[in-house]
Amino acid sequence: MATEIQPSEPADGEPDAAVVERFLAGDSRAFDEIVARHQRAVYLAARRLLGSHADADEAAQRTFVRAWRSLRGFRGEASLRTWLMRIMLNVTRTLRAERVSGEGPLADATEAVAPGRRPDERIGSGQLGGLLRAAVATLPPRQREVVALKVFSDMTHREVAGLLGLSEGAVKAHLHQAVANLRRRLARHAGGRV
Amino acid sequence: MDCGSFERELAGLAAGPAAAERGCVSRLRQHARQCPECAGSAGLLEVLGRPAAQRELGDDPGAAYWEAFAGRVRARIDRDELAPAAKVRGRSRVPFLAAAAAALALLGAWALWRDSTDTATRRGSGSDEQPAWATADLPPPGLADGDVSAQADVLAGWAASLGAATDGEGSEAWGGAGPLPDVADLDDDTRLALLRWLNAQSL
Repeated sequence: MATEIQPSEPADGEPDAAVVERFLAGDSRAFDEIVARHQRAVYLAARRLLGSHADADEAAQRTFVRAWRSLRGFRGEASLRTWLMRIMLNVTRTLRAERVSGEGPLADATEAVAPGRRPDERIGSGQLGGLLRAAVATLPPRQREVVALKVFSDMTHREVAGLLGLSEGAVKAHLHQAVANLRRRLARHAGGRV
Repeated sequence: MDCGSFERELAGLAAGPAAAERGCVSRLRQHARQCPECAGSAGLLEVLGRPAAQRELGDDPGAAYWEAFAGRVRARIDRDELAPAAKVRGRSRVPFLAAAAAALALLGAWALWRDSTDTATRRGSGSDEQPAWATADLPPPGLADGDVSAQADVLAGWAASLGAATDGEGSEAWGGAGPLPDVADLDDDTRLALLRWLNAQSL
């Protein structure tokens, strides 16, 4: 799988705020640039939250469609990435609610899990991702959100707290609890009891 | 290191490996190797020990997906933009057509009233001269090409004139609410433009 990293703002490139200004001035191609810069972060966070590629793809698309409609209201008080992540969070919550209400099942997030082998063997055979995806998918929603944003999207405690409407202390507590839960789930899985 | 410390340090690593003290990952690895209870967290440790930007779980959909993504978003925006626009147009036509129908009825009433007046006048003068609006070229240029805003402007101007109109004669022929407006108070250009527009409509 590709692992190259796309920085949200190229070190020698145009800042996000300037690209937004170009969009607001009528340069519709600027929006494609915004998408290109943030698509990976939005998709991968959605993937952590929803589990499957299909749901993450849908969430990422909806996020940018909403962003297109709302970008005129972007005040620049938070970074563009934080603003997009807020939209993504709302979209994933809506998607989960739609799925729960019967508008389509969330895809099984426990793909690629093969219990009964030692953890290091699974890691060696490339199944680590599947194991962790499955473990993250079983976390309570709030812990899953904290993990998606803090661990996999590299946001600061303050940014995550602002997005989730929590104090920084609460974010740290959720993160600590999430790691403890992940450990328990992975330990159970290592024993083949999941 | 005990298991409690392992868990605390692992959580610290999750919060940001850069903030974790030097050698943290090595110590945690050593504990995971020796402790059966923590061995299951070895994979988690390997992921959390990386810089956040590299903490992917092998589920990146690949370059082809990313290259096509913006285009798919754009196509969806175009699709979504068209659908609501059609709804808005559909909704906005309802009062517009109602206003046109009311205008048509009003003009009809006015024409009847005017015709009876003209007939009486012609009978008196013997003149067969037609009013300008009755011989206007149809469809009128500019209004027959779907220029809704221009049509709306004409109607709006006419409606404003109606608001200022005084009671007129022929109220008994007027079926609408309130007194019959004196359409004769409209200036010729507005009346002609309105009639041209009404003639161009397929109501």
